[in-house]
Amino acid sequence: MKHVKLLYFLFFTFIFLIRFSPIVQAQDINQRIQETGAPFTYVLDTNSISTNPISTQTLNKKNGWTLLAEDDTAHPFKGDVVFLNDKIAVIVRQKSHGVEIYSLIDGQSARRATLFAQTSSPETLSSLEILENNPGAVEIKANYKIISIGLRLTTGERSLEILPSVETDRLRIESLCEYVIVPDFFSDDMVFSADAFDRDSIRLPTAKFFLQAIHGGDCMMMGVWESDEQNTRLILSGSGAARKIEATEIECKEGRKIWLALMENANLWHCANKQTIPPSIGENWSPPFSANWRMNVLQNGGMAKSFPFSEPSLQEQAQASCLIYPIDRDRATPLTTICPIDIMRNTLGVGPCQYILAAEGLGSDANPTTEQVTEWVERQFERKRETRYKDQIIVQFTAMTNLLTETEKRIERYQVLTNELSASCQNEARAHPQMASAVPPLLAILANIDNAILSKRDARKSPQYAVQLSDQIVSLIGKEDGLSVCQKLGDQLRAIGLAQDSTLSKCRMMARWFLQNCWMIAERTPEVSATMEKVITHAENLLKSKP
Amino acid sequence: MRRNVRLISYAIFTSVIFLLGSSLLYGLELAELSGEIVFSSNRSGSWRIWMIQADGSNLRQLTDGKEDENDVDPAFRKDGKEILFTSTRGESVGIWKMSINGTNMERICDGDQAEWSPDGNKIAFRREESIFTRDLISNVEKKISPDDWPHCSGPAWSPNGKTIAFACRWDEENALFTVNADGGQPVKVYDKKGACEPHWSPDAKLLVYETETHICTIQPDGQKNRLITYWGGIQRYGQWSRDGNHLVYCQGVSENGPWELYIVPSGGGTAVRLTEGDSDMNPDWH
Repeated sequence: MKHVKLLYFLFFTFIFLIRFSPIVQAQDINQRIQETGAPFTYVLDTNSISTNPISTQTLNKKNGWTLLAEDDTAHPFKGDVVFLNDKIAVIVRQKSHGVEIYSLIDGQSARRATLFAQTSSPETLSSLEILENNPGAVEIKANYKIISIGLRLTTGERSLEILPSVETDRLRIESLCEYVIVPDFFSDDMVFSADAFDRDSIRLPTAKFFLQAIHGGDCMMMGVWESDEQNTRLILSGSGAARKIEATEIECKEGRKIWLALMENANLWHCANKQTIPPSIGENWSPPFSANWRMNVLQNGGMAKSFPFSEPSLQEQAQASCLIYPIDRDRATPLTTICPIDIMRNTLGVGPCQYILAAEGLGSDANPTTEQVTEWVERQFERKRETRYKDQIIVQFTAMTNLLTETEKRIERYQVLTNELSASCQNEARAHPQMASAVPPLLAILANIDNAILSKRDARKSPQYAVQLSDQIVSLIGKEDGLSVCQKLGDQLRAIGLAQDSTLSKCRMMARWFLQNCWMIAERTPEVSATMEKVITHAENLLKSKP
Repeated sequence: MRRNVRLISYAIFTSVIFLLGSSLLYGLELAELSGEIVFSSNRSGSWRIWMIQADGSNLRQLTDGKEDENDVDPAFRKDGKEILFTSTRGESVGIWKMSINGTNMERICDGDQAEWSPDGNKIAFRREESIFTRDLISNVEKKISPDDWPHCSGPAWSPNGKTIAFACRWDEENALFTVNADGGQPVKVYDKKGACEPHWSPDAKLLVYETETHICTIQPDGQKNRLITYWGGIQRYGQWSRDGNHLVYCQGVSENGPWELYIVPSGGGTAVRLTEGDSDMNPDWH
């Protein structure tokens, strides 16, 4: 009996040790992660310093690594630092100033990117601090000679939060990127491939995010940053067939976070390149999950025409190269699938509508768009409570028509920008003959802004007309059969809002395209760079000025 | 000898359970869940109070009314015998109570977002963006949010009845606070990512709350903030199961819905859909 008790004690002690030991070795780490089943973030010490990036096999096995206990923030690292959740692993190596990022998919890893916090000279790691270590989040601060970089990974999320120190100039992201996409939720995207430019470094016309289509088609990476004053660059290298996207760079600003998100799914993005890939690849492809998929028909130099994707629409683009990716979820999108708009909400905290209004200086808490207000008013009519809520209906309509007025003013500002920039370009061309060949393409872009404004002028009506429509709806309050008339008038108001959104998006996109071309001219032709800078500053000031 | 065999068998059995226990906790089968979940839904037209068993069975509508009347924000009394809710019945938005079969409706006072005290004798609620308590026996009301605090919302009574958690919005940011149930200076719990809608766990060790996009838990002292949902779309209105092992919440495609109810282990894990069709919001679990 004594032996049985001893056996019982030893057995329980053994079980307890393997279950709760803070330091777990080798494959026990993976076993423990699987056993808990709960979402997690963990920090590990590899116990040896690696001079090369850690292989995916080594990361999968974790042999000889030490798993730090929860809240252990004073661990003296013998090797390199690994921290992870169930979707992303981040490795900070002692012998590298790069931070390596891996996707984790069903227990296997895939190296996706390396981050470099850049200053004027390269630096190696000098020290590491663990700021937070628990199943909810891990935060690590990597200190280099001059700069430091904060890295935060939260349970279950697909994005790494990055906070570079004030001395950091820019964050360089190296990956096997095939396309860089600058999405626009209401207008056309811009899509840049390695052969888009002949320069090796070019500024990108981004606002606060870009997407990268990673080689293989199963991964898209999204970079998000907090300020539209943070510029970005595309770094290219090689020539001919060897030309490739080397990296992207995001400018750092004091106290501004940057996020890097990895979206993973088999066939997540697809390029139907009819000229270089057997057509059957494009024809056989179909979206791997339900979502709002966007198809970009690629044009020269990064321009694209964007459409909601449907399989017949792919067939129609027989001779064009098309890039297809999921932009937003729908009701049938799997819960665990993340789209770019999800990442935008999770990082910047706003959806597309608030984003475009905020970008144009028109954002507000109330967000009284024609869509929202007319839908709410129609609901009051449907439920026959429009009389009770008459005052609120008037308040809502006032806010809505004010927004329509401000938006129309913003569109007029684009018209002014176009006229002023056209004049400016022509003046500079007259004063500097070397600018002559560069100016016509710029004027063509400006003409496109003009066209966008003019083509929807009728559809946008006028703010005064919108006021008349809303007054007519208010006059229906208390009348029999008011709902059907209210809906017809509501449709007209929604059409005005839609035309404004579309015009504003096209203007903004073309203005960014104009800047992109100015940057290229300035970099390609140094003798006109000073002149182009004047045009660029003029355009940027007009874009930034709020109504 | 038989005793020894029994002991060893017991040791092996308990060890296996001990090892597997946590993983069982994070797996989720609706059929294993008990209790009732009350929520508001527009599945029959206007917003009404509905109830469903936590295992997904016996979906039924509790309230009905005129087309222009809406009932939202239901909350169980701790003994599960009565439900508070907010309704537009009558002339102004008000707090109502009813039996759990939808009978014996009674208007209590103006206000919304009401929740019972643990003993069922008081309610905490919002009126004109301030937080009040009301004694249901004496009808005496007390304002417990400071006079100069704007935009207070979502009061939640702690299980011991001594503290109330709520949210307050300052300029652009929401923050979570706790305050003595008799009033006093609120203490900040957390002020990032639009935190609001707090609810206490049954053991009072955690608050569940929502950010702009996700459901999180946090200790009342502001420590151990943890993301519980991290799916695409929007997650709102987290509420605890009676045993504190699970959370029910609303999942929306975007900020504008439509909303469906899901259940997730309270330590995080796989979520399971409870309802679908139209929009279901504001769940409470008894």
